[in-house]
Amino acid sequence: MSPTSLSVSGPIQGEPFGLLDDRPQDGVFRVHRDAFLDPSVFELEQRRIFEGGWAFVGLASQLRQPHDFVTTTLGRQPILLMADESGQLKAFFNSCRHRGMLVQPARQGNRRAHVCRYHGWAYDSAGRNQHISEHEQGRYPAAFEAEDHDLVALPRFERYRDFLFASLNPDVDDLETYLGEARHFLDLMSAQAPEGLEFLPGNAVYTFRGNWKLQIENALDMYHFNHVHVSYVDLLRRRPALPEMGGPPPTGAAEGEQGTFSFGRGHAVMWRSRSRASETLLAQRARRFAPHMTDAQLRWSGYGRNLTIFPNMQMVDNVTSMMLRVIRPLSANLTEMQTYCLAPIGEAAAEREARLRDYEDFFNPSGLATPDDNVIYEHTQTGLAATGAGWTQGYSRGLNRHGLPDRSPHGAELGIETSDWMSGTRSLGDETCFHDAYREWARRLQQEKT
Amino acid sequence: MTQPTLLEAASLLQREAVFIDQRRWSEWLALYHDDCLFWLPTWRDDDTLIEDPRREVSFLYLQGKAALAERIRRLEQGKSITTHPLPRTCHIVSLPVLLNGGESPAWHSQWVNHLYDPRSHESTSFFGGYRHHFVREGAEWRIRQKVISLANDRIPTVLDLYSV
Repeated sequence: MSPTSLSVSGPIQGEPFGLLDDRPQDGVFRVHRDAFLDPSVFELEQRRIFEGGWAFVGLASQLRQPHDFVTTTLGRQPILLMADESGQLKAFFNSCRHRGMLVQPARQGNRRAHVCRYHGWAYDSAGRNQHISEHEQGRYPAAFEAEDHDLVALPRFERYRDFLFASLNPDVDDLETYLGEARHFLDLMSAQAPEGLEFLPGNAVYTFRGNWKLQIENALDMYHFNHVHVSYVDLLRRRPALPEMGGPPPTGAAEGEQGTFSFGRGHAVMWRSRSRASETLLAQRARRFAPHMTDAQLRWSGYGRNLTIFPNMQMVDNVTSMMLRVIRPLSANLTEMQTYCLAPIGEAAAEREARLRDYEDFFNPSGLATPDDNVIYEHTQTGLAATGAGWTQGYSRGLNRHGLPDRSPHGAELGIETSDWMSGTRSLGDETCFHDAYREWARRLQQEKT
Repeated sequence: MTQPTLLEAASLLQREAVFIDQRRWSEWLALYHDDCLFWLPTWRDDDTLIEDPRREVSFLYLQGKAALAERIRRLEQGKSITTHPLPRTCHIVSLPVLLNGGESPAWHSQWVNHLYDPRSHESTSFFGGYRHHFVREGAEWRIRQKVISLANDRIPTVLDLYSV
């Protein structure tokens, strides 16, 4: 089905896909309001983005022991990740071959065999069918006997360091090509955890009544911080600084620089050179990281970094704590988020406890910052329905490149190639770092092949 | 360890509920001991709450009255968009029962909180159980510890002190 037949054509005359007005040479980048509102856009996003290419599905340390399993969703489809008897990681559709029932309804666990509760068909942890109940007496035809009855493996499932990705579309680049230069920021996270990264136990899932792309934008948006999170900043300023953790966010001359990188497949980073981390914490971390990092990585491990791996994974390294969130769109105006406190395996008990309190302060629907974002998304979703007001003006900060070199000095420092970049003072609030995600989004939505 | 009478314990729980629903924040705060713990753990899996807040994620782990006061200040100050407007809440709390288990006996009760959001015109509810420890301070009983289990833990948009 072509995109136009799903009535996603916007107001740009003569353009087959009119929801994106992408003319950086004219200083113009605009996203049409229907991109956030139209259910047919959501349907296309599910098929061509979330079910049409790579998406984050989990962390290798969730499957540490043979027979460990995790269930989740990829697009709208239930999936089952397992470690087989030898510990090899495998990914399947979570659907019994018999009648399609969820073969494993639990969220996580350890099972040598997964027995379907409907008629007792059983599969081992490598997805092989072990048992068809009353097989002999069942008068099955030869055609059935000729079929394989194993769980259906996901078309693509690959691992990059600790990060597991899968694709329901077999016809995609290998994962490393897909991640491109953004992988250096995954490397930087992994280099902080020589024994690997883990999700700390405890389930935190929330929803907001807004489009998922508001989340994509916001996590890369430094401009909103002092406005939306003023109560959090205010609260930190009133607290005594903790020497082993940190104080309020830096201000004035101590603010440091801020900038962004875009990587060409919708992935992007927003960074700031100073965080609220104390000198003691930075020095302690640097001592530990030094054997595993280049000098540039060591410096950047002390920078605050927000990373988006398109389309569904975001990480925030506030230096004081690390968060990984998975975006799951449920409809054009409803999004489910799962957030995790990410930590190095084997961390000392006192550091872990301090990390948890810092994480809980900021993130989760019960934190002091994330709920502010959620309410902002809902007001934005409601406001975007004013389609009569035309294009918004929220993608222009950072488009004026006058006086900047071709190559990012920060990119050169890290030895990475970027498709776009911007840097400046903490008040830069660059918005060009959203552009890449929308270009990838538009490119994928316009692909005829699903 | 001395315990309040059932009437004293129940009265304290009811006052807590009424003070939150009527947004009498300072009176609510005054029910807590300075060295208090207000803990809302997450679920580790479908059947088990986390047990070790030092190694596992909590929704709220607020130690000491000052940590509660921070949250109250945020609600009163109006700088957070989540407070414009605050949802209207209605806490229904059961009679508590003193049960053994853990390090010391605790007062167990069930609660449900109905919330109405004037912004979205939507009603929602949270429900679960409370576990209270009380401590005598002069003529009054104060809350030394409140541990909240939240049964429906997929959170719509915001979870704050008034939600549970």
